[in-house]
Parts: sequence; structure tokens; C-alpha cells
Amino acid sequence: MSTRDGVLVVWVAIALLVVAGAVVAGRSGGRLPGYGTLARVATDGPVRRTVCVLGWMWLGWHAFAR
Amino acid sequence: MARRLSGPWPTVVAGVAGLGLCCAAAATTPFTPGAVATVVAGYLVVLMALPLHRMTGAGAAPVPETAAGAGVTIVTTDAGPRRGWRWAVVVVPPVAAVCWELLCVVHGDRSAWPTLSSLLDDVDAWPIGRGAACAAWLGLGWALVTR
Repeated sequence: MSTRDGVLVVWVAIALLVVAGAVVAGRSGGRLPGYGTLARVATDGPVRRTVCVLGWMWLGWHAFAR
Repeated sequence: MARRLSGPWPTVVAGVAGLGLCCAAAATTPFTPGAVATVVAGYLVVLMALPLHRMTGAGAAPVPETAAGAGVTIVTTDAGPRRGWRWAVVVVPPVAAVCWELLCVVHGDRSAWPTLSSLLDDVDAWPIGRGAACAAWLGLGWALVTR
């Protein structure tokens, strides 16, 4: 197993962790905050939302234009 | 007074514009003027969503419920518990991703230590993948601006 394979395995594990977090939060019946709640907190207010939108703009530039 | 728009056409127009942008993104290559123009057009489409959203009335602030005659505002809060550790379910995975990304960046060798960006490059090398990534990016921006 090469270093690249090991790194990719960790990326897959993190992706599964993200999905597991959504599933666990969804099945908790509202006892645990989900990604929607996290997004609501992260975008609550004009400053936070502006920061998020700037981050989104950077993401598009980085992914498609450089 | 701002004129209110009605009907589904603003959403339809935005959807068609987004679809056109995804097709344009699929046909462009990074580091070219076409790619830059596509991204800038994406900015414009999503940032135009905010006034459009308000004009259609969908973005109007919710009216707080008040107890009749009592003058008391009822603030609706999440039913979930407030203790910080309960956020771990949704905070730990993104933090783990950021830490692993930083570790990959520090190692420098992208072929052995691929970052999210280099993984995305593999997706972007394929026109359909690039179009799908553009759709996800536009959807994220739309959700950010209109929520």
C-alpha cells in the first residue's frame, strides 16, 4: 500500500465520518444539532454570512479559474 | 416601494442560467479567460439571487409569534440540548478534514499526499465532473445567499 493509498483511505474515512455525523444527528430526533443547524449558526448575521459568501467565492475561483 | 415578483419564473430563469453556467464550466479549462468568465458569471447569478429572493417575497423576515394580549414575544429555539459537546457530531468531521488537509499541504508532494484541491482536479479533468462540481458550487452559493 503506497503513501497515496493510505492518504486516500483517510480521506474516505473522513467522508464516512461526515455522513455518519449527519445520520447520527438526523436520528437523534432533534437532541443533537445537525449540519443544517451548524450552517444556520455559521451564517447567522451579516458579518458571518459575508465571510461565508467570500469563502464560497474563493472556492469557485480556486476550483474553476485559479 | 419595491415591486414584488410572483410566479415561478425567477426560479426558472435562475435555474436556466445555472444550467448554462454548468455547461460553460464543463467546456472550459482552468487558467483560461473562459474559466474566469464562467466563475465571474457564477458570482453574478448567485449575488443577484438575493434581491430576486426578496422581490419574490420568499426572503421576507418571519413575523415573531406573540402571545395574544400579553405583549410577550415567543422566541422559537432548537429543542436540542445546549451543551457544547453535543456539537462534536457535526464539528469533529469538518475539523478532521481541515487538519488532514493541512497535513497534506505541509507534505507538499501532491501525488503522494493529495489534498482536496488535487482530488477535485481529478474530478475537474472530466467535463461532466466539472459541470457537476459547478452545479454543487452554484447550489451552495444559492443556499448561502437565500437562506
